[in-house]
Amino acid sequence: MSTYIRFAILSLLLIAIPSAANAQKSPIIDFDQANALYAEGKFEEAATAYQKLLPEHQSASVHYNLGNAYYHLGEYGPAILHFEKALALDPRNPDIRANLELTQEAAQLTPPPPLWAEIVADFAPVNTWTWLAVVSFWVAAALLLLAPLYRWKGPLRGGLTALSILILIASGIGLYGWHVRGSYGVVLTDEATLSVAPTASSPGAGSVKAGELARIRKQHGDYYLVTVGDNKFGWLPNTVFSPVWD
Amino acid sequence: MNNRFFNPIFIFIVFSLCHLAHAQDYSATSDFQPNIIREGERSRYQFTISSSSGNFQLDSVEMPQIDGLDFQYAGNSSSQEMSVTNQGFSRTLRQIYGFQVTGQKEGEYTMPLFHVIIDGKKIEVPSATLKVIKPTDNPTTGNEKSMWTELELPRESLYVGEAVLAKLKLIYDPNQIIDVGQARNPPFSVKEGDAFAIGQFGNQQSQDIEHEGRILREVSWQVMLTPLKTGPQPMVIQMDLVVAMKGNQQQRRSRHSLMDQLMGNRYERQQVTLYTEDRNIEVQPLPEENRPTYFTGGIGLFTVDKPKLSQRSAKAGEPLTMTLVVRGQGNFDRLQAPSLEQSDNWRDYPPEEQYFPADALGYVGYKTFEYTLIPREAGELKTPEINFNFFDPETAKYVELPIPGQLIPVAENPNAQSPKRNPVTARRGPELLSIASTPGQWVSAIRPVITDPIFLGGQAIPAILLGLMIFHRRRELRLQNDAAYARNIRADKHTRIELAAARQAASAADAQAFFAAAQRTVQAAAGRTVEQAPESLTVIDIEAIARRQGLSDEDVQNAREFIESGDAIRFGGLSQSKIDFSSELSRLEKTVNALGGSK
Repeated sequence: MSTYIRFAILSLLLIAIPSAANAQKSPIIDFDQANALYAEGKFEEAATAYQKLLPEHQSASVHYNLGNAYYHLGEYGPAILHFEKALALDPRNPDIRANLELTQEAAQLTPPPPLWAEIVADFAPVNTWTWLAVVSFWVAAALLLLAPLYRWKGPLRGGLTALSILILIASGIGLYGWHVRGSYGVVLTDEATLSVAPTASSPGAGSVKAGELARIRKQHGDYYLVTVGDNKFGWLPNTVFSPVWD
Repeated sequence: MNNRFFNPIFIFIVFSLCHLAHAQDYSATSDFQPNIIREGERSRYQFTISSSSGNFQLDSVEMPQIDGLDFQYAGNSSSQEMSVTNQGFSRTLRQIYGFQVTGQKEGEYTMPLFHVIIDGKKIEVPSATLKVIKPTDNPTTGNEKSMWTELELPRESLYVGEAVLAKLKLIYDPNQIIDVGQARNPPFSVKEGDAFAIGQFGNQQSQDIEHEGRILREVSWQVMLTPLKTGPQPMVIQMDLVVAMKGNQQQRRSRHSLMDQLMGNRYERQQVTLYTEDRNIEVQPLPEENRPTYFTGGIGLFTVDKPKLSQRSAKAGEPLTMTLVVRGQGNFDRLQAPSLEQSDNWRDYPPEEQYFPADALGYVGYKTFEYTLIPREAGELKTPEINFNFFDPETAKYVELPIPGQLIPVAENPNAQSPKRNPVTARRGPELLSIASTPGQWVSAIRPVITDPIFLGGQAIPAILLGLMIFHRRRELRLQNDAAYARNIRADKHTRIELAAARQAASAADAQAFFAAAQRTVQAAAGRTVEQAPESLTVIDIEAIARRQGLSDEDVQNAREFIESGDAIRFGGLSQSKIDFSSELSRLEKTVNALGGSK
């Protein structure tokens, strides 16, 4: 009996260990395979392979490479969407920014000028700003509330308090910039039509171009109420529009 | 025929002699109203001479005769129009000469261009056409449509994004319909189809047409359509109108005012809704073949003027503007700024755009693009070439109109800093940067951690820690600074400890330990109000404290007994069999509570 048990345990281990290893390796292998397809000029297959990694295995590199593949396919809308996603994960990456600008030029788009808060936000990913904000907030709170109780005075305390408040303000601005960024989505096709109501039979309210950034006001079912530029306003279905953030 | 025609001419020439003036600028128009009649029916021919310089005199006219039409002079009339311009008042005088024309024979007749002489000058009167059709053989059956609408497109197949100048026609039988008005403003709306953006309706025109042997009135409007989706797209336009139709006597009596009845207005007014033919319009995408790299998005027919520079010479590092004017007809709203050829000598910025429509629909006009350029170095520099292009929907081809740069001398400018190169070119080079070879850090969603409920809930931990630290520190400081508070805290602590010891001793039926603990418990409880150490309090001290606190005689007696019992058992011993530990413990707890207890 014990022989059977030992055999069963050994069999399970033999199956489980390689499976666990594969589970860890799989996205990297898939990523490398997609890169190989891209290198061979098979952009459509490469795009499909990168898409397979999503949404469980996202990274700035996956979105960046996917954006490049869509660029080669002439699909500027999805290309800009994935470059924007890549920037959301890695805003300081100059390659992503350069290829995004190139794609916007190719799509004949002039992106709206960024708000000053968005310029600040670009210095770090949103989660870095979040952690900075949280840490600086609690440090500032501790310094402001505990230091008087311990009768801690002097320039060091003042300097640390001022520094943490400054970091808190900066991270607040950065987070606001990301909040603005997070409200944007990208038009995916040239055939997108703004509707006056969130229904398929609604009359058109204007047209938008593939790759245009639109600010999401609200969502209703499969439709987003968006503002494009200064004067275009209407509903877009999720088949032709996608938010940058999940 | 000739006499009948020229006699009236003579008459109106005589009439016109009364107009004495020195005419300078003249213009003439002519037309038939209606321009289609049946044999034997009458039309009116008139020509109008306008003068902007004052009264004038018609000296002679060489009006040709036309076989098949009979002209009868119907008189002339004149009108004046005053207008205010920047230069002051201006006056336009018009003389209208009318003729009654009877169609004698079927055919299409043209009154050719002819001349009139005014003050010795020959003025051309343009040609006009009249169609005479056969009288109808079959009387109207009543089954023919008396009113309908049509949508006329310039081509069968349109392109997505194109500005299409369509014509919406309302055709009706004037023998049945007297008047047409709008039921709402505007009277048009799209009933079906979300694939088109529709602009304003305008340029209303009216004329008579022949349709299946009938003379009908056609009223048309122009409208600008923009296809937004490719493929066969449905398109139906709805028109809400109020029409006055010829009615019978009974309807007239019952429905219309007494004035209408007296005036003999035999009509019936009713609201009607008309729809254009339900049809699919084929909308094609713009061809990929030969598509320019930097396509402007313009679809139509455009020309460009030579770009204008804001100055003839420049200084390095100082901006100048280059204005490009694009004229023509088409989708100006989608026409983007043409791209500039990349040049290391210039830094350029996105241009300011402005559109100037030349018609009410915005189809014809011109658009200006004002580029800001900064020369990066001194020398004889050529401005960047402009890659202008558009798509011509009639030929279905892209048209590229590259605009060469202009030479401009750029002087040295030591005070100015040379601007950076154009950013994208400098960074990326001519092509897309290569892909990433490593996947980087995996995430499961692009969502900030701040929206995660666990993260937000986790903020309670530092909040609680901070709160605890503040509470602890404040208590510590009070213990240091407030003697009464410190005594009270100590008394509570000692009372709790000694009471627990007494309970333990009671449960173990250890009389010596119990009464010793009871004595210390009472001392600790009573000691909270005095500065003296609790263990040094005597029976007298405790009794005094108990009295001061307003304890009952029984509680005072109990406190005294516990102190004395403690001493007695410590110094003299006590038989355990005489002790009821349960009741003693209750008595102790009651006494301690009366003394302030353990808070």
